[in-house]
Amino acid sequence: MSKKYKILVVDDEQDFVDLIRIVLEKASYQVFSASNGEHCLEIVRVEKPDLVVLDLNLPNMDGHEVCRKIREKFSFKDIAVLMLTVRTLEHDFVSGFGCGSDDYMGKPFEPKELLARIKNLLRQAGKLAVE
Amino acid sequence: MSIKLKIILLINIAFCLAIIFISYTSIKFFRQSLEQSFISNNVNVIKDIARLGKQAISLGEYEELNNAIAVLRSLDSAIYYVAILDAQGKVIAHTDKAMINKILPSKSVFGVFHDSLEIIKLEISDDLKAKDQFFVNMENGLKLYTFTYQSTLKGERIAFIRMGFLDDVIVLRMNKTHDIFTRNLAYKIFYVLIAIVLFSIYISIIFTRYINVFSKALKLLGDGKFGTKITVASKDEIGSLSADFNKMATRLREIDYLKEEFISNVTHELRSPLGAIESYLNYMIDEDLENMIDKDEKLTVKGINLSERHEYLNRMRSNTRRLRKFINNLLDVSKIESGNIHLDKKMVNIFNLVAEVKDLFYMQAKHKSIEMKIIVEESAGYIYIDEDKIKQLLTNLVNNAIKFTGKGGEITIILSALFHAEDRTKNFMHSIQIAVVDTGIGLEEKNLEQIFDKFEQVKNKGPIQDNFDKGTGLGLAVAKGIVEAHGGKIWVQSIFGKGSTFYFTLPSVIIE
Ligand SMILES: Nc1ncnc2c1ncn2[C@@H]1O[C@H](COP(=O)(O)OP(=O)(O)O)[C@@H](O)[C@H]1O
Ligand SMILES: [Mg+2]
Repeated sequence: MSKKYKILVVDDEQDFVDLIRIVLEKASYQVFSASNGEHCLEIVRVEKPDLVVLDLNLPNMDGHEVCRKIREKFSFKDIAVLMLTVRTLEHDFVSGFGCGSDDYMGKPFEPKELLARIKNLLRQAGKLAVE
Repeated sequence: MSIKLKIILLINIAFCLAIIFISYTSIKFFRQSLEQSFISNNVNVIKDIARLGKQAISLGEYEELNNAIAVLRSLDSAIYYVAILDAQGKVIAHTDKAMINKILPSKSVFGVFHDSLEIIKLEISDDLKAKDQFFVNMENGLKLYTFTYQSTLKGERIAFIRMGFLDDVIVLRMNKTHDIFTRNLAYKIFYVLIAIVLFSIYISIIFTRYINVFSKALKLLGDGKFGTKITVASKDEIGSLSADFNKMATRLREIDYLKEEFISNVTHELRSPLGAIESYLNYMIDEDLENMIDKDEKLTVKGINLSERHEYLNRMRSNTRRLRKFINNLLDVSKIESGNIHLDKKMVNIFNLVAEVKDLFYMQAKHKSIEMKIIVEESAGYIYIDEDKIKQLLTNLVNNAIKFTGKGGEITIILSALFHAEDRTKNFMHSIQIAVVDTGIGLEEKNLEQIFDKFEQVKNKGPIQDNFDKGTGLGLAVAKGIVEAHGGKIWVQSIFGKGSTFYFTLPSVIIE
């Protein structure tokens, strides 16, 4: 992996942010983090990350809204969005796609699955060559 | 027996008793007054005869008197005989001509009382003296009503009149009048009875109307509809009862709401930290696995080597998972109970869904050498359902089937479509039915219904697998909630010790 991809992790729970950061940094990604929607949009604007790992459950502005705001300015090719939600059988899950997120994953997560999904999204966005 | 019926019966019985009593006494009274009037009528007749008799005696001419009593007798068939004697006891007139001029011994005239059956006291008029009597006696083998009357002139008895009436005829005549009277009475009683029945029904309706209102409301309350209110606009006890009821219902709703909120808050609060714990455990287990492959398994950190650590972490993770599953189920149940279950329906290929669920259990089934298969009895095609929830439901059923089936068993998922007979040609299904059949421990008859209640688990299920999944008793409650939210039904058939079949239906689906 020659280029360091920028990934923004958004979650109001520091434990999750930390774990994802550990997992992603170990896999040689450059990791930014935010704990709320406003902060997230700020970093998106400044850093233009390749991918955002976005928790659905955020204070003030929820994941759907943040995602919609991102999509207003950036396409999937610019920034991919991986949505994190607490349950795999919740209906908000499916509607996550309606707001323009590109994939979703349940919480708690398997680090391996997270990496696999991120890789897949980057590949789909054309940022990663097919191995 | 319903209160309504009781009120009706009570009122009817009370009124019937009253009517029976009243009609009995009135019939009796009528009978008595019939007899009284018979007597008083004939007393008048006797007095007329006595007047004629006096005249005849004073004239010494009895021809006319005899004619008069003959006419009298021919007029009234009840008269058996009329005899008139003078002061000396000689018969001066008699309906039986042969008796005329015979002297009757005074004893037989005045001694008539001896063979009387009963002496009826007369208090009809002052004219009748003590010796003027009316009584019932036997003469020539006939039962007679006999009147005796003494006619006096200046205090001296001048004539003695005796008149016998045939009891048969009198009774018959009285009975006739009596019958007419009772028939009339019966008609009237009949109308009154109808009125009473209607009245009792009306009263019972008034009384039970409120009971019905309350029992309906209580039933709704029992079904969990805590918002139920009763509107009774009366200012009596029932009004205040309904006000109290409403207060109770409101309070129950508040409590129920608090409970829901409590559960949902607590579970949400529990889920995040649990999620974090599990995620970290996932990470640690993954990393350890890699280390175990790369490095020495005996690598020890303060007395715990890597494979032991791996084992302990796994245990922590499986307990965390169990807790998470329980919380999720609890949240589902509380959602279902509060009616907040949201269905996100779309057209779904039901066969694919079933196949996907089956694949989820591939490892588990293999581990217990359970054979799993799908039988499609009727191609069901696409149906309109909430895919995730139906998946969850089927997952719960298959999970149970595997859990309660021993090694080497068999699990079959049967997919069939139920048609309306006439709709078959139009390719329109009434509903689809999915059955999950296992060859496991089965269920006893008495448990078939209750296992769908929350927290219900059957005791003594016996060791089926080594690390037996204790479960939460919520799986089937969730399943039932999901099926019912779709308008379907869920039930189970089982032979204890042989296996169980869980069925569920999903209605109103359209074939491709
Ligand atoms: N396939 C089955 N065979 C036998 N018993 C079953 C089966 N499925 C469910 N049960 C009984 O119904 C109970 C309730 O099931 P469920 O609600 O799924 O709770 P859990 O599986 O967590 O115990 C189980 O504990 C078990 O006793
Ligand atoms: Mg279960």
